[in-house]
Amino acid sequence: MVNLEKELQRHFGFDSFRHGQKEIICDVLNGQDVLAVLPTGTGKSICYQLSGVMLNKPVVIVSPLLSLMEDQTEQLKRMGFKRTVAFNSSLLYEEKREQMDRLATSQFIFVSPEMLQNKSLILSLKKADVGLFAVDEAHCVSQWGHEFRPHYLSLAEIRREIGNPPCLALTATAGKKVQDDIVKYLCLKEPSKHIGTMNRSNIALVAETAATLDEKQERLQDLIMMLKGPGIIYTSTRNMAEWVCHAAKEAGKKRTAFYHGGMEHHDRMLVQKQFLEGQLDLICCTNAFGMGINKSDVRYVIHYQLPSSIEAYVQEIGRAGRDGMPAVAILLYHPLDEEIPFHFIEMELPDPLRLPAIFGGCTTKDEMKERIEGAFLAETAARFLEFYIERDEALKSKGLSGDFFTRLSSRIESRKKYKHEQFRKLINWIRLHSCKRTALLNLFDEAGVMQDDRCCGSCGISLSSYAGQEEAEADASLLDWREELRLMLL
Amino acid sequence: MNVYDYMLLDCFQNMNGARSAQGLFHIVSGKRTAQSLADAQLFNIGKYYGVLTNFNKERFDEITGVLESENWIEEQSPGTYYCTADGKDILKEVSFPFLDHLAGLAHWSYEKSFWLTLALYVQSLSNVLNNHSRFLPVVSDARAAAAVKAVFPRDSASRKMASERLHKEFEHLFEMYRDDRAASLFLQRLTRHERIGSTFEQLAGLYSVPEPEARMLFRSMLHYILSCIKENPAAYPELSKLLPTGEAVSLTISARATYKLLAEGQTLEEIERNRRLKKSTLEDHLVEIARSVPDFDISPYITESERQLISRICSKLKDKRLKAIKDEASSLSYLKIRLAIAKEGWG
Ligand SMILES: [Zn+2]
Repeated sequence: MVNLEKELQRHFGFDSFRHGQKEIICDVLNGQDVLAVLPTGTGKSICYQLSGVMLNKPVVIVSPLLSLMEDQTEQLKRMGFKRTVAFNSSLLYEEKREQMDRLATSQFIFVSPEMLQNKSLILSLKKADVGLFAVDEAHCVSQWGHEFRPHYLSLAEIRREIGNPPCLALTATAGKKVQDDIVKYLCLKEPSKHIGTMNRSNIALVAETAATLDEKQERLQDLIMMLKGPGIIYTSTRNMAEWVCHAAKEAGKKRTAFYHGGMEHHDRMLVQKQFLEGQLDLICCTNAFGMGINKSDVRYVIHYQLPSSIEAYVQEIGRAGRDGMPAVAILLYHPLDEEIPFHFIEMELPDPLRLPAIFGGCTTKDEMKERIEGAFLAETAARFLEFYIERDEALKSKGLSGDFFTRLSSRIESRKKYKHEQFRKLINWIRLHSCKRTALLNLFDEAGVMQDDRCCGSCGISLSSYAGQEEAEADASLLDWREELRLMLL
Repeated sequence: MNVYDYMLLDCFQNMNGARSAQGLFHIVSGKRTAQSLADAQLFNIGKYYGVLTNFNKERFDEITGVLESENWIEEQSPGTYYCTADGKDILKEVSFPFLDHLAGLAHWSYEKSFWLTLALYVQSLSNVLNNHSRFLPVVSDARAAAAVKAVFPRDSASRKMASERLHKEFEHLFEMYRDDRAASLFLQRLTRHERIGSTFEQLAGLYSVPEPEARMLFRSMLHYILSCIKENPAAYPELSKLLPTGEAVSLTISARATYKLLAEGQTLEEIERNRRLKKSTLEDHLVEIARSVPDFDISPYITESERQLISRICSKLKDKRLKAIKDEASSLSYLKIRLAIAKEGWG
């Protein structure tokens, strides 16, 4: 039996496994299908990374997010795994072809679910003798997950086509229903299940309801000045992220910056690194911030506006206290805040009433794709339509039937209804007077845990224990260019 | 008036109604078409080419709206504006001297890759000199990473020498530039040991200027540096080694692939088939290559007498739009005209 710890140290530089990792890797190496639910920040990726090294065969990793894929690829290459490739929509034809030629000698193959539908890629994978089929964010396969991604539904078939390698399904958040869906739709055979607890005992949970929006704003100002960073404030919109940042700076919290998807790439990188390097105490951001960012000493996360789902909430507060030290998550709520998430849920899927107008008179697949592009739908909505059109092969006969629209409409409606119900659960949880921790775990079908100390707002908690002065700021006065140049290069 | 208002008004004055606002948007946002490149030069606004890459059409229209409401420009026909007397007056009153260093048309094809390479090189050098070899790179671009790796000095003695040379080169450039604030701002955008660079929004705060001005102060300095090292690379060995090697690098990835196959001796038909390109795409590549690669031979595609004909027409015509040239030389294909223009550097 190989010494996995030794291999872990040799290839990745870690001294020991975190909870659950070793067991998962052992099952994978035994050729079993595995379902792993590991909360954010507990090292999901090491599971397929080390497995891949040990198997000494190519590993396919299905990943739904371009940015996540880029982070992972870059990270692996930096660690010396040069034979890492990524297939996503940003590739040019030549690059794709070149990578495809090298597939059999590749070690880690990242691929988006949409790209994986490509027939010639499937063929190349079939020849490459893939040793493991890892599915990241596996909850995307379920209609009952918070981020349903229709193309995940075809993964089981693709896996079969490329020679049925063992499957490792990974996710950070999945209740019982979603777990069952993952097993069912990814066709996992007698999978070994590793379900980690969602409970992060060092993060205290607080939700406060404000009587007015003004009151909420004042409360935020107080919290910002009182709490000791590093901290993160999440907002729903880009404008709000900027606004909160300016307010914090005005109030004297100078080392604050904002971050959102509307900024140019280089500026986003700079803010990210400033935060990681400890040059910022506070970051005000939309949910674009946090993916793939590993900062262990975040002491508080404030939600100034509502997240779009319970799962998103859990993921976002999970960025606090990764070092195991006490941290606090505070959600500030006012009923009017519900509007924006409702709007997002509506935008996420196409409006059924628009379907006939979008597709009327269409006969070919290319035409349909053009129509979808021209309809200015949200990315998720466009993907949804593309998948079902592809799958129903509605065009095989004579254009789209009314029947097809009816089926699609009811799919959309039921998905929206589900998301609204889930969102309601979040609101109910916020308003709840009993133990927040227990209630949150129950939402993920876990038994509740009441902690004696620093549990939640309902059990009683003193926020003053998270208070403190930021460390003295370095003198922010600008240097003369000669002095700056000397510091930089001499 | 802020610096963006000034820049666009300056452009409207130079174009004098000969092109639509849409056409101007393509120029300042850096659209890569023969028309935009040719127009930028023709109307003497080449320095602004591609300088507002962060703009979308809404942002552009917003500023046009401001200029119009101030009565600095007036619509003469739908979508086309000319600069009013008031507009001309205000252009004389206000000045942003640093804009003189902008040279968008000269540097657009490599300025971004140069900047990313420079940012990563300085960060790496500064950290390694301070015995800090594990740092988080502020640039994730794979090509910049490869470029830095290729030129990074291998041992500590040569690193020390490289950084001293780089220090001297910057010092020399900044002294000639004679704007201490702009020099400081440029360095503040760079990342060094123990200090991550600043975003434009942060720079605006630090230097108490509006964000557009912070961007243009930076951009003008970047273009100035590029102009200097392009003109005299021997005087700036450290900086010029960060320029993309070989002019072919300044091509788009797809055009570069075409260039490579042409160099290997494939015919246009073969490339069209093998790369599954549309004919029009392939022609765009040819034109791009003709413009960017000085020793690219266009004689297989156009005869010497045809080139002379186009040259004569261009010197005669005021209106150098493709359409106008084509009207004069109806026997020649658009491709031939575009190739000739690209090669002669009118575009
Ligand atoms: Zn509790």
